[in-house]
Amino acid sequence: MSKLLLKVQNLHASVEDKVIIKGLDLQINEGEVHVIMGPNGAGKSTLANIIMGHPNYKVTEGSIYFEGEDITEARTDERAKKGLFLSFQAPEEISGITMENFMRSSRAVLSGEEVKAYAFHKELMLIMDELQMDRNYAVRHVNAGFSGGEKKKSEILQMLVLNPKLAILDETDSGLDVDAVKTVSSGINQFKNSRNAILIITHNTKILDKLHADFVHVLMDGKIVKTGGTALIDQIYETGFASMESISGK
Amino acid sequence: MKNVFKGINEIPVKTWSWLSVNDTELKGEFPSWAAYKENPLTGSVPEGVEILVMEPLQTYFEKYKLEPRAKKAFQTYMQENRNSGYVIRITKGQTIETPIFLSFKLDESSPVLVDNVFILAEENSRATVIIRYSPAGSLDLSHSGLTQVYAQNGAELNLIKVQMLADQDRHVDHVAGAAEAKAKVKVVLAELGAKQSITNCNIDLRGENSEARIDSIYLGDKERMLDINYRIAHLGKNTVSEIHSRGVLADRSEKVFRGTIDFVSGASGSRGKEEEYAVLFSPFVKNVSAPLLLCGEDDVEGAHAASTGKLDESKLFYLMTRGFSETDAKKIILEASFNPVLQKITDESLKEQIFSYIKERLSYV
Repeated sequence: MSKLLLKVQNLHASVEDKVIIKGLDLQINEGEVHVIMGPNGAGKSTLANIIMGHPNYKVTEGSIYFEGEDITEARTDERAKKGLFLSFQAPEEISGITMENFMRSSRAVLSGEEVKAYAFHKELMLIMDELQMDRNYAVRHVNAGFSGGEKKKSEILQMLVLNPKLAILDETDSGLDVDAVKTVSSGINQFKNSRNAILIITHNTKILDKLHADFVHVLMDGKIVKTGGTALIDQIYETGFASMESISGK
Repeated sequence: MKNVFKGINEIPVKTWSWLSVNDTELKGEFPSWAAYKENPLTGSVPEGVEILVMEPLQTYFEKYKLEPRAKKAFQTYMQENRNSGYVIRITKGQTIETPIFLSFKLDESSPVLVDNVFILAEENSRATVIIRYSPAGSLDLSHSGLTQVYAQNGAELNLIKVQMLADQDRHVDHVAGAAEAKAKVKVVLAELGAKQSITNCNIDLRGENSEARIDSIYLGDKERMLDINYRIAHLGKNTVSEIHSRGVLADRSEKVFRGTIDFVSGASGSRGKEEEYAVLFSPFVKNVSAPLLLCGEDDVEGAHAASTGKLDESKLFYLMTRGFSETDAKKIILEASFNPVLQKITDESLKEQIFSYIKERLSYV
């Protein structure tokens, strides 16, 4: 039986006294790909940020467990060290540090072990080639001056390099052209294995053309109102999110 | 005798006194003369360089017909009270690849340093001089320094000064420079420590087509005070200047920054710009900036800007999702801000020391 990685239990959360997540349950096992869809303002990105421990969001009730351990109060860096990763919807630009040095330092702090520069460089170049990323990006400063698509590729590159146990991809496919969606999808497929899991937060489903999702959840008004297989996506396209409003539970 | 540590770092054009930017003073008394027993010179003297110790500067200035620019009272005080003095002469036409390094250590046996360094880059010579001030132990250490640089026709002089003193120490430092025709004076200043740090850098572009740059970083934390006063004066035609300063203020630190580009009448065709950017890590800091452009000449181009930003929490979160602790993430953000200036410090070991010094300071922020 595959191992339970993430368990979100009766989660309630708010930002500046505005309640956004209103009793959310979610379980993700190893080897699974989950998709969360929902209308604007449903709380999708908020959920991603809360799972990673963003300090602006306050968990008022409920818990988050990762590999059986309660991480509700854990710091963001501690969560990352346990194996959680977030691909940002709008990745930050960090000038002054190159992509390569950044990822090498990140891997070193995540693993607690020294990362040899030469071996890392070789590995990075291979992954960049597979992602069809220009090798010159390795010497550019983190996301600085990158286009929207390049930033998203940079996030997928980081995911592959850092190899987390659970990768949360927040709108990774938004704003990408057809070719970039293919590259990102292939990166995700490359990452996916029986020992890790992926949580994809998305508005559209292009990214799922080449990626099999095990579960599709519909998040509305701070709650998961429906869970199903990929057939649910077709249903959403046919009837819209509004038709899901009255349905609750799995 | 007049206390030379009062009314210092004067702004070139006075403004309302309630703004508290006109000048400053050193809190408490500067200690009386004591011997400085360390030898700051590291490494051998490269070929093409002459270094003289405790040379009477006035004689030297007369010999080379130099008029280094520094406030007379301060210059006299420094010459009379110096306990460490060097004249560094880069001979005509020589390019010195290895930086000349003066490392001033202050400790129990040498708690007071009054250093007067004069650097002469003769015609068409090129060199880099690095001066570092660092403490040993946690004593009450005091430093007052005057570094004068003079670049003759076509010379290029890079001066890097790094101050890494401890929380209770005092630091009053002046750099005064002048560039003749087609000469370049580039100064990098890292003001990182000391309870009170008062720094001044004043460069005259005397010759046509001469250039000057001041790149600086500063770091304030705890209740430390920084008072900065930079000025580049355009006297010659077609001269170019740039002042670029980046700082981080944390806790309850205080900073006053004055930056002046002064286009003197006759400096036609000259260009100058200055920019200061401060990142505030705390809402309790005091941050004052006074960027000035003085135009005594019409045919010039000048630009100035000072801006302030809070610590970007989104960046902090992004970095922490990649496993970096809050302190390390802050350090990365700070380094990112400092990096354009730090890149100009070519000595890798010194750069590493600066990084560890910053990290140590940030671990308490």
